[in-house]
Amino acid sequence: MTNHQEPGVQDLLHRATGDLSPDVETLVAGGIARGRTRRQRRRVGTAIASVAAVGVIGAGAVVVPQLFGDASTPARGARGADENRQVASAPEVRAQRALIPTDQMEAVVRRLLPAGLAVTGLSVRFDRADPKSPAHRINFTVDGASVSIYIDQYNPQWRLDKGYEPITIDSECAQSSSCEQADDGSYLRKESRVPQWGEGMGPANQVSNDASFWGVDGYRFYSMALNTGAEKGSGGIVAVEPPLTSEQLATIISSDLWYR
Amino acid sequence: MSKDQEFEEFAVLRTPHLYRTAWLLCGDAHRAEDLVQDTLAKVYVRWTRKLGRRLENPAGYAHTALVHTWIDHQRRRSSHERPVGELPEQGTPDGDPSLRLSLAAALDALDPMDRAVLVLRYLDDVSVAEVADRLGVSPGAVRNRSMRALSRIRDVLGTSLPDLLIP
Repeated sequence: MTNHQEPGVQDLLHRATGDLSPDVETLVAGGIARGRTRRQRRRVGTAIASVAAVGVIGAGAVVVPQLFGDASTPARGARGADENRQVASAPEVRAQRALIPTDQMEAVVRRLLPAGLAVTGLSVRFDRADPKSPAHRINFTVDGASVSIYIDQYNPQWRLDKGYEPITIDSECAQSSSCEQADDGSYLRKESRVPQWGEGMGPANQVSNDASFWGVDGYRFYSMALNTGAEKGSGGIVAVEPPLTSEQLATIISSDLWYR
Repeated sequence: MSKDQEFEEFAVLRTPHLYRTAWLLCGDAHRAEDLVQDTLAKVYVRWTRKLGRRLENPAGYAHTALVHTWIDHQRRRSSHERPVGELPEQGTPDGDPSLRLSLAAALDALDPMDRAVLVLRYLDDVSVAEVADRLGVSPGAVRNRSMRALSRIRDVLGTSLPDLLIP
């Protein structure tokens, strides 16, 4: 037991949650189902990596289905915007370039933005909220509307070992018909949508243009332009449409200027 | 008993506590349920792995996985939450909804790591050293975050804190 300075807070947390009664049976069944899917994906990913390592890519189409039978998750092709596409893992990291220093990112953002925009409040923060996976967060407004860019690394094995959510392309692209692979192996997703923050946290009529980029340097970029002054809560609608299109965001986040 | 059966037995026993922790981290029932299922999935994969040692402390592993998963969700939430066709139904509130509402609002004001520290220390009753180990930070950082979280909670709840502390 710990020696808390605030026994009242400990009691408060216990009282606030002590009578919560989750549907344990449903949660356990759901957890096991997700776990089986996750395990199967890892096996498929490992099988594909093994096949690729010995240069027998052509044999993979034959070997992988035989390994897992008809009921298994197939290793679907990665290229194109086919909604049946599924990718087993993130792009292979090749000759990873380092990102530019944090203090140079503001200048890069300004250089990549279309000319003539009224940009205010541009901030770049190196966020260590997750100590094992720090990320850059870039926020600014254009004509009062919120734009954000987020950069971190994807898919190292330790994410799984540490109990982190594994970052795979299919978890993002499977939900989008607009995720495509470029010739260099990187992936780019562009879409417009209505954000759903839940619990009434987002303003009504809020819309978002998004772009995500998984580069072969091992970094993933998310970008989002809203027609509101903030992502959720306060901020309100400031325009009918976000100030940047998904295409413009995609151009920004896939630029070589982000690397040394 | 098979590994699947062992895991299910563990999960049934542990899920209520995981859910309480998840609720304090997420502040709502639906996200807490999602977080618990993601966590159970990770523990399931580790539990049923054919190679490697058995989990020495599955409960600790599960709680660490839950907190890390939540932190990871927090970092990515603002950038890729998916739209849904219809708003989900609100979960049926149990017990004292006003208490939970006030507490959720106060917890929402915290930095994610501060919130995780607070929940681990005061709900799960985990020592400073173990919280530091689970979150990959120093014990000093845990103490600082804990103090900052408590101070922030007091600021947000204001004069209502004493009222909430009275059973």
